[in-house]
Amino acid sequence: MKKIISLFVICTLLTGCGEPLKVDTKRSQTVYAMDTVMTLTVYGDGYVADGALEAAEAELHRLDALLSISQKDSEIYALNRKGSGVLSQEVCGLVFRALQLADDTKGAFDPTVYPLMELWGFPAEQYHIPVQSELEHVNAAVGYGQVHCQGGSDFTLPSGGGIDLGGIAKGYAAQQVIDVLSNNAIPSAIISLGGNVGTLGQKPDGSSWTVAIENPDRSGNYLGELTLDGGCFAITSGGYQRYFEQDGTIYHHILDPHTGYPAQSDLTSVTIISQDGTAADAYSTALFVMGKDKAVEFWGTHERAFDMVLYDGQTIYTTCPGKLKTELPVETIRWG
Amino acid sequence: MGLKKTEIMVLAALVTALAVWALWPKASGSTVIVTVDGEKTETYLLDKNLQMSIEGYGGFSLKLTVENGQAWVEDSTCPDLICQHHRPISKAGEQIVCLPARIVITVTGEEEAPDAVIG
Repeated sequence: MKKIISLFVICTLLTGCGEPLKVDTKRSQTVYAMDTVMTLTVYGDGYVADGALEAAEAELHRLDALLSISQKDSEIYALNRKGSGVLSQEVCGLVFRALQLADDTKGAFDPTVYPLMELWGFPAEQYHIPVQSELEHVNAAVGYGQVHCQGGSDFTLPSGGGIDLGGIAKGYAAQQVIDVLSNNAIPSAIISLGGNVGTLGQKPDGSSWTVAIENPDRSGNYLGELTLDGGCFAITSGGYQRYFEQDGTIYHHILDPHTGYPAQSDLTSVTIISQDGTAADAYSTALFVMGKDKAVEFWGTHERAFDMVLYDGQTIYTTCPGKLKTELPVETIRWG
Repeated sequence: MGLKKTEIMVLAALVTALAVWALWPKASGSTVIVTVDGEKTETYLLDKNLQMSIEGYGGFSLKLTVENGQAWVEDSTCPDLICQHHRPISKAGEQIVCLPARIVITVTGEEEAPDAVIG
């Protein structure tokens, strides 16, 4: 009798009255940093997952303080206030990377566009339509070619100029967090930093990650669903994300650095998929500014280093139709 | 040596109890999960109409309405009101976020939700 009862108790425990013993425990954590909400989801041993999430959250807060344009302790804040300054190695590296991406995209992405953003009132959400003379005055200080560097770390900005790494910060942070999780023995994870997604490994059942793309019409239907492997970063840019309306005209937040006005793009949504999170962040902005034809030309000259999903409000243009499930009309962008 | 009659009856009762537990229908259907500053605070069934005031971070609060299988923010004291202007949500994986209040409202359910949403 005792043996039967013992056997029953053991069977009951193993079938899960209480938390089952699983190697692939799923843990999710919400982090508020970089003025947005971030979700980190990891699979792994429970104790290991908790430690890894703690390390990842610490990394996000560290980067937020380091790269912030508004926090008074940040090097970027100090550089913009004084117009010059010596930057630490990591920030220096990121500024150089931002300038290189600006050059790569011929200024369609430009980290010096911040004074224009302030003029339009986007950072403080106190919107203002500038007159031409205001625009010309502020635009004179915009342009990545006006940032000078001596000795590899001593930067000087033009008068009235400013640098904002916001256009690549979340993409860079996503890469760093994936590295932290991997270094903390996590085999499988997906993170979303305010919509900048990064993946690590496959899901525990061996399947790929599914990432849906919001429809700019905000109807609740998705543009489509991507299937991604581990080691990918996916980022979307679109005017519908931040804008204000005045007298029936919509002014969105993706400014064309060349004109100072919201980019007159024929695209409503640009999604970049890449193994380089920092570049994906910059390219999603740049290709929106460029518009469809120049975006396709840009992809063609970059040796297929990334994939993209472009949407003009009616048709999807993509370099990776095999990775995208959608009910909308699709045109495939081909190499050569 | 075979089992005694009483042992057989006890074993049968235990096995029956285990089977009933395993096969008993678990709670199913879509739910609305509310988190404040990353901590899960409330879970509601999407098919039960309600209105609930939720206190968030920074002294901001919002009124959550669940009606006819949809959830939305009726009213908010946050400065940007992005949460209040969000369309009602009802599909697994959909979210409404109030950043100033650090309140996230998520629909979960039996249907397959994407692992992440971008845009």
